Amino acid sequence: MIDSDLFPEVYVMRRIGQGLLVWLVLVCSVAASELDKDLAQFRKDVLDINRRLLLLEEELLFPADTQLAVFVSLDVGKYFTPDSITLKLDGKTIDGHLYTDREVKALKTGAIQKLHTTNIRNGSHELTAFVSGTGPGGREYRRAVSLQFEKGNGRHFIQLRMEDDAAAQQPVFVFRSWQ
Amino acid sequence: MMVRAGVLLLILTSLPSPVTAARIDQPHQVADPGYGAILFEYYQQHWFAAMSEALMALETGTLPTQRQQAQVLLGALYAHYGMPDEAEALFRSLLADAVDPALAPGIWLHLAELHYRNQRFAEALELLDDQIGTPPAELLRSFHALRTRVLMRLGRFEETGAALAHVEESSLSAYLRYNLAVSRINSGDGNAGTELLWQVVNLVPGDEETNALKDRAMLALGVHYLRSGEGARARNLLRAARLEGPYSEMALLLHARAWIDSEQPVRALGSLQALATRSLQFEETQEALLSLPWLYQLLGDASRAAAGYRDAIQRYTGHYRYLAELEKKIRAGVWFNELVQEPVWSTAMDALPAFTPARVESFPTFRQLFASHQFHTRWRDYHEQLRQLNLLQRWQQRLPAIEEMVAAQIRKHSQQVPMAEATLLALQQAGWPARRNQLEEKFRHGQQNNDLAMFASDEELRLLAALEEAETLINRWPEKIKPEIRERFTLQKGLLLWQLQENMVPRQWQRERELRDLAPLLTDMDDLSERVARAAQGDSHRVVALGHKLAGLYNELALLERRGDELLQRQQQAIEMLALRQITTTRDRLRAFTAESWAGLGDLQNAILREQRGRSLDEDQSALPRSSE
Repeated sequence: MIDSDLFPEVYVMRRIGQGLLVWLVLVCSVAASELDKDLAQFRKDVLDINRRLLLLEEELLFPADTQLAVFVSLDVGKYFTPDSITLKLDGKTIDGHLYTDREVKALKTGAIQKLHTTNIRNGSHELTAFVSGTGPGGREYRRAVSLQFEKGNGRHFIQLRMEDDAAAQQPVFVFRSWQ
Repeated sequence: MMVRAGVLLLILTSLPSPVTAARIDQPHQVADPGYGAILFEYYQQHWFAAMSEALMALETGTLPTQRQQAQVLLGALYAHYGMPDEAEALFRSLLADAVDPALAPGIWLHLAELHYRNQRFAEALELLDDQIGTPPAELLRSFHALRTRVLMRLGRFEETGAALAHVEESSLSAYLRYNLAVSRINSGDGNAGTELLWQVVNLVPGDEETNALKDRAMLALGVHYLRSGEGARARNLLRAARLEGPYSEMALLLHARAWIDSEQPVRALGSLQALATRSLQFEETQEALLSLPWLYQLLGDASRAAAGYRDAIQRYTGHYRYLAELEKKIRAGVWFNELVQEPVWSTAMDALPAFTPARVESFPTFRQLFASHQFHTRWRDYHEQLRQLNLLQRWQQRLPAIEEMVAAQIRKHSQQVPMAEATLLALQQAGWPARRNQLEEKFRHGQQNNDLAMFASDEELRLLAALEEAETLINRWPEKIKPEIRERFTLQKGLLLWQLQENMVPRQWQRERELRDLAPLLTDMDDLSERVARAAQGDSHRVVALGHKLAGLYNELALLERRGDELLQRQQQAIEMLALRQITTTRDRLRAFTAESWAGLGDLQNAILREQRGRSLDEDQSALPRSSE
């Protein structure tokens, strides 16, 4: 503790120093608050431009009239854990995917994966999914499942649902198709 | 050390976890694949990708039934992503738009969380109690976790305990118990606080996070016992503290303090000596360097005390110089560049990298700083900013390809639109609807007049024509035709007419059906030509609009990148400012410790001198010849 009567210069300097420190802290906190606001605004702007660019890209790559989107879901997943999936459209391989643990966990929690988006002409098509993974009893499990569908005007969606058949204690693979 | 700082950070920052994170493992009812696709990113903690997916889905109409759920999720993501204003606006608009009653409690909970984060505790509690009241089962844990935190901030500890009873035994509960215990002790309710702290101390050892929390609870208990004069309990507790981990230095210091308080200073030596050998970058070591000579002095070992003071002064001076060098490095930006490791992004949508400042020489100096919530927030924001800049750069790289796609569409458009227009013109000129109407009129006329020829086959028409020709000839020369031939002719004609007449109904029906079939064909053709016309017309607008959009996006991207770079600089400065502030604080402390060391040394030498003088005086006096009594 400095006695202001005995050391007036030191005391004054110390008080000025304290004042400067308080001022510095205040300036810093105001600047930090402004920085947070600027960051939030920047993020909003980046999200917005990202959305517009993604939409533009999708519009160019996959116009609504010819678009086919394939989704994959896993209901419960007690009897099956996917490792990989390969998609064939009209006999041609169009996509393949290897699952990470996090993706499998997300699917088991109820998420749906947008596996593939492509362009197809109107008319009849056949989609085949080759799925491999771990089946009941930890055994390797492979299955192929096909769907004949008619592509009309507008976007077409297909969902491959991997579900548990509790009665048979086996996984079942079902396609759902809608426009 | 990185792990230690990371553990500290986890402890300090994980308490106000977002409401969404508490429900992340709960299976969701998913009806719309668009919503499921958002969850696919969300469950993998790809926040930015989840937000982008949600924004896309909301715009492209892939959420026919779960639009509101997606908006709630988006709001929660905004809040978690440092965009509280956006989140609040979204939640408020949802609540104003007669949201699904099943979703409302979740939204109120998100809003309360936002109030809590903005330190509006009373408002947060009001929302929790008045708007939610009794939460649905799936929100029970999040509701009570938040309510507990709010009550703690409001100092309503009695109610906090009751609220905490709803939160199941988990790591979150342990954090809450720790915070509640410290709050209770600070408010004077030591017994309740220590009871809670013991619960944390007695947790089963587990990962580093759990062990660090146990260490911290043990220290808090030790401090409490020391403050309340229960030195023996403090000693027993601190003896069991680990000699590693983020709290080991503090444990050693407190252990020494407990022995000194118990008036057994000699038993404090071991802890202080062990601490003095550790890096001077730890505050506890700095304190131990000063305490150790004082303790030697207390124990009567003046020479070791003097050496200890000199060693302390020397090391403080050395550290002071080191801090001056460090300050220069910070101001020049070198420290920050060494600390930050450029993350490797596989895609622009990756999750943020883990908290991993490079383990540079100065790392322990800023252990407290790295453990602070403020630093961690800035550090995370800096990396988020890096990721966003990376995203913008990737779009910059992709834009030429997109531009080429637009150009290709324009080229295709310029070729196909004239073709489409020509086809449409040809169709119009062909006048198919009018020709169909003519056919129908003709059919009706034939039907009404029983026109057999109209419905005859080609062969029958040929026969009819032959019969007519023969009849004409017969009528021209009737005298030349024998009666039997005339009869045969009449028979043949009658047979043919009978045949035609007999099948008239199916024949007419067949023609009528053909006419009917023409109608939908013409309708389809109309639809098709209308679509072609609309596509030709609309597509030109679309393609032109795409071109404009693209030009605008080029400029916006460039501007955003510049803004992003400036913000990155400001974030770096903010982090450097935090480090400089800590250096200033450390320097002040070192200055004070050095002064105290000098003072201690001076006092010691003074005491030695006085003692020596006293001794020599005694000797002189004893050497003097004693006067005879």
